[in-house]
Amino acid sequence: MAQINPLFLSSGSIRQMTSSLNTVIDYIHLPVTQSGSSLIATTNLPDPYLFASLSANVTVNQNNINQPLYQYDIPNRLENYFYTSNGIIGVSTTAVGTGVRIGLLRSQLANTAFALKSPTSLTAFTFANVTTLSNTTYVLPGLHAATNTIYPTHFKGFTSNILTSSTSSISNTYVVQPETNVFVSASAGSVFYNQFIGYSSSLAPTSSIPIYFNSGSLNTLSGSDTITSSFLPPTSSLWLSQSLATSVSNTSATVYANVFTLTGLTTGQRYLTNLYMIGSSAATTTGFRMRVVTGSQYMGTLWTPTSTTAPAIQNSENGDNITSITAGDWPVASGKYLVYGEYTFVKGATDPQIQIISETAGTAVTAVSGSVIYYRPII
Amino acid sequence: MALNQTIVSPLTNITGSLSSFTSPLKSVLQIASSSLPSYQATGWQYKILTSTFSTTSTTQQSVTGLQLTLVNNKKYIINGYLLGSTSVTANGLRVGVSTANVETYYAIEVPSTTTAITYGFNANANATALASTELNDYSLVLIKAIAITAASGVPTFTPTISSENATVQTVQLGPSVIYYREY
Repeated sequence: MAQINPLFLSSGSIRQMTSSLNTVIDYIHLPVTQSGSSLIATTNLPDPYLFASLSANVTVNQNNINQPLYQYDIPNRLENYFYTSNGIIGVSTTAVGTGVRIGLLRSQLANTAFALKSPTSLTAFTFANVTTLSNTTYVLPGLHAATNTIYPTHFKGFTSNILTSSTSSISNTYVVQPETNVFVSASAGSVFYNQFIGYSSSLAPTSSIPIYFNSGSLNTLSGSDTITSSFLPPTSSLWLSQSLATSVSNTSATVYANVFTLTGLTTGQRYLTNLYMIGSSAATTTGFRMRVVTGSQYMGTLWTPTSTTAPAIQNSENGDNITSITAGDWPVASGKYLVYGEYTFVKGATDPQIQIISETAGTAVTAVSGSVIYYRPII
Repeated sequence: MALNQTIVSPLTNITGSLSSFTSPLKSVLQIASSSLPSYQATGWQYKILTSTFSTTSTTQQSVTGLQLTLVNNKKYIINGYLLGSTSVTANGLRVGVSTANVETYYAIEVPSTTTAITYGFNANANATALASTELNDYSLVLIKAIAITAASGVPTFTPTISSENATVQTVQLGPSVIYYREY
């Protein structure tokens, strides 16, 4: 069983545990500071993320068996709470005829909605909307383009008990399952992260912060497991960002132009990156191509507009360092649109770069000033 | 080419200390108020919609509970996690963004069925239909944006929704959040 290494970075703390269910239990419980009517609080925590990642592959070969990847529990709460959930799971299959199902099992349907995007090739996804009342728990991808190739599944979720006013604990478990009886895997380096957004409460004020590790009837670790947790003063800022001060254009269809270079990163360290680039192409018939040179173990996806209604998608391939968007039409000539990406990578020998290139020689594509990339070390 | 490398600094000016512990199962650690840390809110900022916002209009309606009032001459990253719903499957929830004194670039991912997501760039995103068949069944709608505010005027960023069909049908947002930060 894989070890899960949650790293609660908001307070500089690190927790590690080994669990048969890869369970992480939220332990934040902010103080109620006002009584009376509902209080909407922006969080007092400066960076309320909870990260976790798989440290080993999770493999399963039976189409009627779930293998749990990650379980996220929120203990029973008296207040209304709001969380977002995100993740990038690397999946692979040993037979192209067998898709990799990524599922979400929920203890309370109405409290969580998810959008799952699971790849069927390097340029296509299947989608599943896990709605608040639906029993849908699986993405059902089609055929994979290649065997033993790692593709990224992205998921986004939102959890709140405000719809149900329930104070019961909830549990969301991500699982992997093959479409047929062949081996499929969720890969080491898959990343999960939850962000505490805030809460509302009409409870009376309290003067303490209870920090829950495990409470009530929740007991998802085996008896031999122990938790070591140390809360350390934060030593540095965790999210780093670069913004582009001057636009970068490129008319070459063969030579990439560099837009961002991420310097000062630690070799061997895994980073989570969000790219928000303002892209433009001088002609509607010329695609905006981009690549990410990360060093190693790239896993994620880039999206770029090809029309007002559909993006081009480029997924990672088996941990390659380079991803390139090769498609197609630009919605409006010289129009500026959001090009975005979400990926993780492990810093290699060279500094990671984000580069652009034109689909058509002589026609300029541009990364416009104000584009931003933000990133942070994770597990 | 020039780059601005800035540090987004969510962890400044933290005082106080928290305890260390090694814990078996079922432990609750209480920390007295005297040792509460104090934080400077320089990280993500949040806007939460806690009451349902409904409309039957086929023109975009501002979801004022999620409106961001920004600061002039700043750049922001904006992320939205919205729970959207429609009264019938044949009626889409259209999600867009309305801005004032802001240069905005965004993408909206709107679930159109159980198997597809519609994307929009710099325009209102028009979903064909949500999968939900009743108003209490919500699907996730995602917003990604960057916003560059003008030197003057009050910069605002406001999600909007409308009903797809001219025939009156209700669409709504349930609990939703937008979080944003300067860069």
